[in-house]
Amino acid sequence: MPANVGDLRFLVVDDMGTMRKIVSAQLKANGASADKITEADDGATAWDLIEKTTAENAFQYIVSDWNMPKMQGIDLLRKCRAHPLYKNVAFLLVTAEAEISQVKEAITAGTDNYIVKPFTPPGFAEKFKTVLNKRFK
Amino acid sequence: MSKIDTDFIAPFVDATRKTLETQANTPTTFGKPMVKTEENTPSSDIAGVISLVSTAFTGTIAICFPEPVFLKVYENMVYEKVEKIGKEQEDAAGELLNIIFGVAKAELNNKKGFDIQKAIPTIVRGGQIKVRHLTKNVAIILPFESAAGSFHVEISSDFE
Repeated sequence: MPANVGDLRFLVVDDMGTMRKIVSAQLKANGASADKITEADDGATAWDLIEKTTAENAFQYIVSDWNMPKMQGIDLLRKCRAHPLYKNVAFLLVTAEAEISQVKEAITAGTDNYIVKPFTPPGFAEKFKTVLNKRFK
Repeated sequence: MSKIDTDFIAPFVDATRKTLETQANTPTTFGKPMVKTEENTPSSDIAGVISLVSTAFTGTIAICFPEPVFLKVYENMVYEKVEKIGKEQEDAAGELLNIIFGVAKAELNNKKGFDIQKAIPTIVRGGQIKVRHLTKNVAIILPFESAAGSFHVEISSDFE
């Protein structure tokens, strides 16, 4: 188990470069190492990256947008939960959808938490740490 | 007269203000809504457009910025100063509208029982672009002021 956030390997998934930039900046502000953050511009690309990982270099914390082309964040989450290496990966779903039915769908699919856009830095930090505490303590 | 009532418009106004302030560090004030005409539509250089589709109506929402205003909003959003709108700034405009749409859609669907469907924004760029709404009702201009400058949102629907 990693000793601190700076040791964790992150995967940031969003089809919008601006949001990848914002999320990566928030991860760094919360202690992540820049060289341990990988970005993917849709769910399918993220899955390709995930499938190439091994137990030694698997991502340990995924922050993924929900609405993306090719593969949505919720589908990426479901595939992770069915993957032996990723069934317990920390997963924070980022979404512009705050509808009750969609929140329920995200929880059922196995997200550790979700954050609704727009979010403030303190709002992101709170969700980020909730997931961290759930998976790494 | 517009057939778009304030119950429909208010969530988009609130969502625009919340999104600009929270995600782009750009607090805004909301001006006086007006029925869109050729004469009163501010010219814009970049616009994000989303189709509104529900079981009850269709329509359009657009957020429109002059280039200098959007570049300042972008700078506030990602703390990067750029001189011209490029691909990344187009993405940012789309994302802002996507968030505004998501916030307003949740409010309208959760509390008012609309069934507005998910949609993907389209970005339009150019000199002095204007968005033309093809709905049978008039379009409404929602003007906003900020320290970055003025911008506006346009909304239309064919509500009965």
